[in-house]
Amino acid sequence: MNTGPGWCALLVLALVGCGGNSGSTSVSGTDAASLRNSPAGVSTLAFMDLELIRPDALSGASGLPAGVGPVVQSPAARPAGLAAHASLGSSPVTLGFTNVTGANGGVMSGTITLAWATVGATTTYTETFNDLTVTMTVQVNGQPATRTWVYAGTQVIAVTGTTAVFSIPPAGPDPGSITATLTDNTVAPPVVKTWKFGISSQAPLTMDWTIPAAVSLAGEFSFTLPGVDLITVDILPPLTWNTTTQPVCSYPLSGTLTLDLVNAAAGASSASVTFGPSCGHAAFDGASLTLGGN
Amino acid sequence: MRFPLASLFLLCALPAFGQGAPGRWFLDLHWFQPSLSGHYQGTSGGNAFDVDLVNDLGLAKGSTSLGFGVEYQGPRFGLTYSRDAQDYRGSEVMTRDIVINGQTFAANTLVNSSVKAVNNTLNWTIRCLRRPGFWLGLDLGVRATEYHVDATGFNALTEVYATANYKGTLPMPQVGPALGFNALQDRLLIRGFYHGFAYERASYGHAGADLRYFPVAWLGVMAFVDSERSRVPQGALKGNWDATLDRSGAGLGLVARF
Repeated sequence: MNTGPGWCALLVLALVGCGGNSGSTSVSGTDAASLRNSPAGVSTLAFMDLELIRPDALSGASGLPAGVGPVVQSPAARPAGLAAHASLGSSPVTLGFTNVTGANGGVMSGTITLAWATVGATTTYTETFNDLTVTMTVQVNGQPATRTWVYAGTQVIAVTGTTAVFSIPPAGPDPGSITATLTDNTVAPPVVKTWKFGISSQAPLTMDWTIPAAVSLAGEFSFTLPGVDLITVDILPPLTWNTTTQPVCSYPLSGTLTLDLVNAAAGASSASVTFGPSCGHAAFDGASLTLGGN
Repeated sequence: MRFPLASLFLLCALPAFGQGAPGRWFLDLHWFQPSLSGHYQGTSGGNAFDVDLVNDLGLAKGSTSLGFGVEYQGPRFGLTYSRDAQDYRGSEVMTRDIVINGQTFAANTLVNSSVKAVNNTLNWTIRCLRRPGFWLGLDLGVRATEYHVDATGFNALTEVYATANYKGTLPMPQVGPALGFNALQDRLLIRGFYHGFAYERASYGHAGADLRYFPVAWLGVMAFVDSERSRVPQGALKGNWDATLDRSGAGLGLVARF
């Protein structure tokens, strides 16, 4: 209905002018400490730590992360069928961590045992996390307190040419997973939580480094806090690293993790973590976190 | 619509046709819970909005309280004031980023929301044409709806918690034709109206009908329908708003007259 006359427009404008408005907003939990300790942070940061040593580095296509290297060359006489490795020496080898920063900004210590064998065109690496520990020290009421993550378990990486497929062998007392145990001494009493890292058998983690400037990783993995949280993570678009730039960046420069949570109490929830564009930058549903930062 | 409305103004300026019944007062208590839908995209008070009330927030009818009305209906004029309030609630996981009063709720966030709408309507009815049992007139008034919007978002994965609230009043002029009938020795009263206007490409329409039956002379029951529709296409108003708002429903009440 168009009444047309100017008085009507004036009346409308006068009335709209009378319409006041007010409001407020708030947001919490986007600080780095909160994001790191959230389920999304745990899944992302622990995954970055567990896959810090990429298969392109194991195969000699790129270097190991700074501070990671063989600490013990053994045994002197390797079993028959195991091939020598150009950069790592002979299998198995124990890799130690010196002044390496974890994805959550903590200090990494401990070792990983790496064994490998080549059959035909495929070299299979068995990576055993012995006591790899990430220790983060924070100030609580003016006193230093620690949060530690201890990784334990085994993953297998089968490399064929410039492609690697990840899996976790279904063996041992806790088949099919690597444990990531948090001991949080910043609260009293200390909290201990043991997450389980799993790799999808339907869409296994697969890395390709045919193009050194776009090393890519795709697939699905999961983190489970038994009885509480089940988080499945789909990598799409793939995470990409660039091995040709200096300084070398240990973290993806692009790619997205899509996380889906089923929580025993709260139900379902989703989030996304997008990497890049700069080294170590990740956006948790738009909230920024610097990997390896404080 | 320009000619009919102008004609109505002309009619209203003419002397009254005959003498009508003496004026009466009406007091009512009513229950009204209309549906609510619409979307808002633009800037208000310097803060951005981008939200759909149903598709994003999943707002549905919540609680409602009794409203009331006070009227004086004279032979040539009527004056009406009514007030009612409704609550709407929603709880949805966002499928896209939404913005309420400048606060972004990211996709995948569970957002619990509530909207309270408080309506105050003041109307002056001029009966331009009167016949036994029938009248035709013009409504002039204003309807101010105060909206209280609250939203809280929590993502169990990122554990980010966000809140936004907004309080705003939307006053709309009520100008348009009205008509009424009465029958059964004044036991049955029926009224209807359409209020609307357009400005630039924005438009507003408000239509309603009201039926009252008095089994006893002083006390009756009322049933009514009411539909309100606003359209503000992008670029039509300041703030670059793109907005729609629809509310419609039926109500019931008790009405006393003396």
